[in-house]
Amino acid sequence: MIRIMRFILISMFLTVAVCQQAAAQRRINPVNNKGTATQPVNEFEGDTARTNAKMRASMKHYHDENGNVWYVDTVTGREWMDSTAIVKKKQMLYPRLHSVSVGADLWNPVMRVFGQHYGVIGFAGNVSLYNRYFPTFEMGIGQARNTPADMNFTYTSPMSVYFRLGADYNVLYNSSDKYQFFVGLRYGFTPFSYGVENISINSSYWNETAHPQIPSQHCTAGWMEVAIGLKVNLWGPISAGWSFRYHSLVHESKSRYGEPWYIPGYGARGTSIAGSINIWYTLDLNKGKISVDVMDEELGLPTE
Amino acid sequence: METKTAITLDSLCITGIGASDGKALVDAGEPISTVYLPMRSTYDSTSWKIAYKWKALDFDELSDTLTFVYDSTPYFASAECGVVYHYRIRQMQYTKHLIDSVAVTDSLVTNLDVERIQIYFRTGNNERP
Repeated sequence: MIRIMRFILISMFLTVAVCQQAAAQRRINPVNNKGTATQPVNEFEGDTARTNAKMRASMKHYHDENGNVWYVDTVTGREWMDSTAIVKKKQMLYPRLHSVSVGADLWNPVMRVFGQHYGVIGFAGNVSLYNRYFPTFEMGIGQARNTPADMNFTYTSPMSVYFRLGADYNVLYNSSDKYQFFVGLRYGFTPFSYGVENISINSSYWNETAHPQIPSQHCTAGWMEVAIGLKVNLWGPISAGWSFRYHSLVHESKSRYGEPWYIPGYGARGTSIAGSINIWYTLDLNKGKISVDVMDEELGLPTE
Repeated sequence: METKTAITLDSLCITGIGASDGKALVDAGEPISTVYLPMRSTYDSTSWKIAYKWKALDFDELSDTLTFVYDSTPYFASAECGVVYHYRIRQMQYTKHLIDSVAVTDSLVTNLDVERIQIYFRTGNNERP
């Protein structure tokens, strides 16, 4: 009886061991399909990866204007492009000539209300290229008249024109064109004149007061600006925006009577930060050709 | 023996010639090593009388006179500083009772606090006159 029981236990153990082995084998068995059938051929006979690696090592290569890598067999002259190194460019959703905008800069009129003694108004125009690059031209009129409290002069600068030329870069160029966040660069230039009136210089020791004249000075100045700002569509073709600008003088005329305090388009000497508040009118040059709904769908943006 | 070291004098009396009431700019008893000499902006020259008030030197005939001739130009310094005068010294004259020499280090005198004129005195054995 004991011998029978031992035989049954050994049989059960072998059965479990065989089943476990069979189950383990099923898990590691390779799957046979069309891909695995050609695997040895790909790896050892027609393996393009190995072949290409050998070709790369033995060939000259160059980069074309699109960033693609081309290999040249210097013996046969055959060229082939490395498809693994193709640079995938981000697609521009907007056309090259997308829109034209004109606007007015209301920064100085607003600041005048708050006590600023200079500036009149500015105008701007730009072209939207791919909704990404915005070549920009700005011009305006500046004027100043300032008699600081407890000072001995009146500074005057008659109406003078100024110009700025530069470009903005819209960081959100593939988003809706109703919102723009841009950084920009400008070069500004102005020919202007200034004078100092009502001068009173007192010498307490000599007990004398002089009233000299500083004749009107005609000069020019140029400066660079770095801008950062926003533009948001308000209604139809009307948008509003603002920008802050860091600027620095690049060149200016010299005068024996001193440096001008106010430079049209630049502002007061010694201030490196300026701003703009713009109201824009935008003419969409591709109306009907671009579907905003389709664009929004592609971007996964909510459509109106 | 000639030295060119800065000294402090406490018995000089410096007076602008033509100043109202003959008011002294620096009076004896004030130790000075540098002094601010204001030019007359309404004239093209300014003269200063330097009197020595030490007991042994306190004689009017020993006083020295220093005269600057210049071109003055109003200069807009800044909105904060306003308009000041710049003076370009064209000529300088001085007597040599106790003054040895006068040097103009920069002929353009501005509102900047920079030394433009150096007056050398004969002190005799490097002692006070």
